[in-house]
Amino acid sequence: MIFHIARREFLHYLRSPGAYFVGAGLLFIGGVFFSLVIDSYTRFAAQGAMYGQDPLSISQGIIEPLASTLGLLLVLFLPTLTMRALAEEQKSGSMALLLSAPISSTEVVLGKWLGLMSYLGCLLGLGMAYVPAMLFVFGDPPLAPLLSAYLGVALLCAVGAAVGIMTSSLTSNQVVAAVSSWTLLLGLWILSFLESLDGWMGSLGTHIGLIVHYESFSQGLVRSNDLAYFAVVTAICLFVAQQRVESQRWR
Amino acid sequence: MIEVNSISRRYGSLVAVNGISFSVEPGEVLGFLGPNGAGKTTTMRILVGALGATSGTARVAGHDVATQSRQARRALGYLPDTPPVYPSMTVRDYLDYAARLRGVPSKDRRQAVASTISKTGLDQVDGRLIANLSRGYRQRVGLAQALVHDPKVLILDEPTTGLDPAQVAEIRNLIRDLRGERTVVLSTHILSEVTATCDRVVIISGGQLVASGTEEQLRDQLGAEHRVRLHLSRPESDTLSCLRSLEGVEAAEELASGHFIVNTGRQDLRETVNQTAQQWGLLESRSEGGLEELYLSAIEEHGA
Repeated sequence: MIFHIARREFLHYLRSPGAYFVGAGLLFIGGVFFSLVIDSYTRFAAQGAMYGQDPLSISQGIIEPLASTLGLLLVLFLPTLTMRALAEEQKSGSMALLLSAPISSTEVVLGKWLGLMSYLGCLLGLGMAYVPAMLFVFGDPPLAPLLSAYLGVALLCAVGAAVGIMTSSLTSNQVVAAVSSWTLLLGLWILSFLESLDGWMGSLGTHIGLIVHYESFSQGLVRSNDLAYFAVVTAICLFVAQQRVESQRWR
Repeated sequence: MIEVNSISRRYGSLVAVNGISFSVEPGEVLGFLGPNGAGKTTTMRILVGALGATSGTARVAGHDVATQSRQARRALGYLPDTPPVYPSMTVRDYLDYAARLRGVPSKDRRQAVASTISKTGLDQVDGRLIANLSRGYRQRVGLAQALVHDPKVLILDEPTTGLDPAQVAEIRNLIRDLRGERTVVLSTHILSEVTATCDRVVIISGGQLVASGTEEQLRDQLGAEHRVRLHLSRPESDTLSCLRSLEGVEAAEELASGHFIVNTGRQDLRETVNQTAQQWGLLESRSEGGLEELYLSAIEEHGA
């Protein structure tokens, strides 16, 4: 059942002009930024070689800045893909199809999430495939940081999709859904800036901030607390969405 | 097949459904009749498991809709008040998706979708996007969705709204064809729909059950009287007394020159009255006190 719902969501995104538009925007800005990163990296490398410094590594000079920009782009673009997830079903009345079918609300929410994740997998996996391809053709990038950066992007997509599906479940208005997931995601993102402060605010930033947990992956670190952070936030959001769908059956 | 046991549903302080009970036998077509806002849609949503009842229980095909929701939902097809369609899908893809959700095995799915498409007259549009269909066709797609898995129980919320007269007739025929093999509950605020398609009627108003039964039983319950309205071309001076003296006639009045109304109480004496009236040049005879009046008097009683 989860598969059937995920399949429909995936096909919906593949056939939806809006999703292409969002995908094209994301890939375009990502591509522009990639060329800027490469350009500055080559200049730095040339300067460094002139003064006999150690050359900046590919992972520090390319993968890290690229991954952190891609993270911000995802936070900005994901809500426009997720806003329709459940809000549209509520508004158009097609929710009745899901509620009256012999499927559970958990299957509905997980199906929606998996469908979106598959679309994002295709979009970023195929659309950004030129990044590792060019790195391998023109350089010799270390494999481990590249893979952990990919893992970070996937986990960020998981959280972004879950937050978006949650806000989309709480309203039938897609604009409200999009704005509230921006607020939540950017809020978590900005919370990281508190990291440098002392006291409880600093620890709030360290523990809750999205960047802190995301950027360790692009630095090639796979830490269990970061994995747990992404898993917990995703699970909480999907749970809220599931409860919201189920709540219509409550007395 | 369906048992509803004093269900109520409140939305905050608003009581939408207030202690309704009824049951539907297998193979029966039940008409769920009431004015707009009577609680028809709420009751149906509770039956299909899309809404929780505040109190009371309901069983569909032997399964409690609250505690054994999944088994109950497996047995039914549901057409909500607005067709639950996805505009960006084609008719065929949408019905395939509905069949998947309803658990039709993959080997039967193609066949199930194809036969539902022809049954509901969607052959002409099966490759079109639902967004580009007229309201009538969307309604049919909604109905097809409820039928695609061949359910034992069908819950149809105003199945003929938005259709043109020819389509209404088609859908009614379709529902009549289902009688016997499937249990159908259909809601409507149009009375002729009930007389055309249903075996039995449940009338609700203001969230409460007002009357239920066959047309005859309703007549008894509501104490309805048969009245015949006559238009005569050659009334004579003794016409009124003749009509009054017919056996079974309880009262007769002359409303205007040539226009008479004859009250025959609980008996249906249209035949006798019409035969007698022939001698005065019967132009028109109309029976009153049908379901329409029962319906109106029933909902009036409840002050809705």
